[in-house]
Amino acid sequence: MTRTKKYLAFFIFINIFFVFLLIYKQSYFTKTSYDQQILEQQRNDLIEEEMVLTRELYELKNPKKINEYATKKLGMKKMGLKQAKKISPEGIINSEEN
Amino acid sequence: MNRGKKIRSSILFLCFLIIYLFILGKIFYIQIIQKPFFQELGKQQYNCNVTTTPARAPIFDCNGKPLAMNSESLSAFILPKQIEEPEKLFSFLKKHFPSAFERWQQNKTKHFLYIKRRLSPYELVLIKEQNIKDIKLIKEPCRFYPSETVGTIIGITDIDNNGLFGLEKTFNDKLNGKPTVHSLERDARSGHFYFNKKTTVQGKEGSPLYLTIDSDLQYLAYEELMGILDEFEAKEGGVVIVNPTTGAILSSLSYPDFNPNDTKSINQEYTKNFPFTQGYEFGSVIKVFSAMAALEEGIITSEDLVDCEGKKSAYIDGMKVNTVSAQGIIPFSEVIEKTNNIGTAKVVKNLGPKLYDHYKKVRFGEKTGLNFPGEQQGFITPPNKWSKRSIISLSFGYEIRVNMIQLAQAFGIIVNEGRLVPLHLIKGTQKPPTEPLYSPKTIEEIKKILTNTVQHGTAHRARIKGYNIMGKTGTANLIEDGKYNPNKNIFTFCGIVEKGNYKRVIITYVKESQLKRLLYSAMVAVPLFERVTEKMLIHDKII
Repeated sequence: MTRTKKYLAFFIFINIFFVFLLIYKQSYFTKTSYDQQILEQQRNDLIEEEMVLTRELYELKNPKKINEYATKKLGMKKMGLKQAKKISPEGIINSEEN
Repeated sequence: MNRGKKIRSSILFLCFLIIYLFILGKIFYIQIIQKPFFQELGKQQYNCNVTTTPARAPIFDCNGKPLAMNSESLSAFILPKQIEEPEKLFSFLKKHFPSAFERWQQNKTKHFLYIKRRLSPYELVLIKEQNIKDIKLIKEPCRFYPSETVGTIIGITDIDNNGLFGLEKTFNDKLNGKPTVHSLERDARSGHFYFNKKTTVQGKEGSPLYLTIDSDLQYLAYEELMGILDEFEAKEGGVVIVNPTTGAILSSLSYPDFNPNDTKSINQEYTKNFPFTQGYEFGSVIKVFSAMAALEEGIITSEDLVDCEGKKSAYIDGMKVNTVSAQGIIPFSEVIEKTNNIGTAKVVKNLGPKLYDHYKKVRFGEKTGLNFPGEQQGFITPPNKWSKRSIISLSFGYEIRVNMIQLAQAFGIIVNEGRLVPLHLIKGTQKPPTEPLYSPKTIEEIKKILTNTVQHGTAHRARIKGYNIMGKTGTANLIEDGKYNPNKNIFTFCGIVEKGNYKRVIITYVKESQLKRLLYSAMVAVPLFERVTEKMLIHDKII
């Protein structure tokens, strides 16, 4: 093989190599982009789920519902200031004593 | 080659030449002349602009509890141009969604048509049960309000999730943020994925709003208000709780109100937060400020004696003045404690137009600067429009219309040693206090008077052992058909609760009791104050 032919073969090989590299890069990029979008979708689904759960949590935390449950179902009674006691290192303090 | 063959081959060559030339011409036309058109067409197929609207920011109370948060609702729609089961859809819509049916009949060529937005659980079940292919569901953002008692402050959003009234409307742009526009290079096959994403318009996330309102305290006060309104069969009432030291509004509620999570039938009148939007002539509670003016101007001291004429009705400068109970010659402090109109008018009339200046000094008749939607400015009859009666009326709280927030702000002056601390509703918008508006002596004297009003005067039911309670009652007639109706009253109590550094101003009012007996503020608004205060002290763990 002459020197010219060798150079030519090397040149063609390099070109083909770069073409494959470019194809690989593009397909890798597409795959990563696809994965990213799948993850984005999963994140959005999780955000949505979190929103639903947060709403449920605050629906349950509604003081009106807690009040109704405590008074009607558990038979609890509302506390007056006179019944309130403060527990401190010095002992139990009634509201009126202070 | 004979001549015939030559001619045939020449014709054939010519034909091919024409065809090739035509093709070349067409290629030239498409590639060169029509290049921009096809380029644009290609872009339209591969590229698309997607607008991403950021989630509306939440609203929190002072403890970080959400007052307005995002949720999702389902809406049903059809694509009128692609209907597969027209008969089934026809009968279903006609029966269950007649308005959507009518719209469909009128817009059969449209690409997209909503059947119903924000479906109720019943409607959703109905649609799902029928399983009609043409009816599709779409998720749309909406608001959820965990604490219903703050509805009149927060307001609601409309069907497109834009603020309709209340703070949702005032801070709509801040909460909404700005949408971001992306340019996407789609995949040709499914169109569901993209290769390239460029931001063409950079948006902005909405900023959350932090209020000074304590939603738990608001609920506790609401419960007590409802109890009193029920007991006295009253039409309207309200409670305002303020931290006078910082100017934070901790609670502002009124009834009638509405449930922000149930917006199907809202009476617009009930969407208002009356402490802000409703001004009243509160009557005797205003005596606190007329007394402060008299003490500050040095026209009287709290020990000076005043002749209250020992009767329930008297003439002052030819004007008839009525009072609840008859008193004789008593010190000025007792005139206020026992809320005697005759004694108050006799003293305060000597102030003349200065009384107006004093009312303006405590910022009555001007907006609080909170920018609350629909806030009422209030009104004080200016001296140039005074009648002979005006100075007398103004001395005990008539011809002066203020809202409860203005009243709470003015009461803060007493707690803050004469300085006015402007109120605020949004965290971080606190304004500095003013220079002292009243001398320490005046403040000292008025504090004594207000303490005695609770200890020995009209508001003795407001006493709570172990706490320093000050306050003033007010019972005022309401205007009906242009004149004061003695049977329609507004009962008010403005109170201050102190224990060490813990200070709160609480205003309670009840309007138009339907009970057919003589009522005074001490019987209606004072018990409400007492109940709210007890709940507040337990809630704040001030024991």
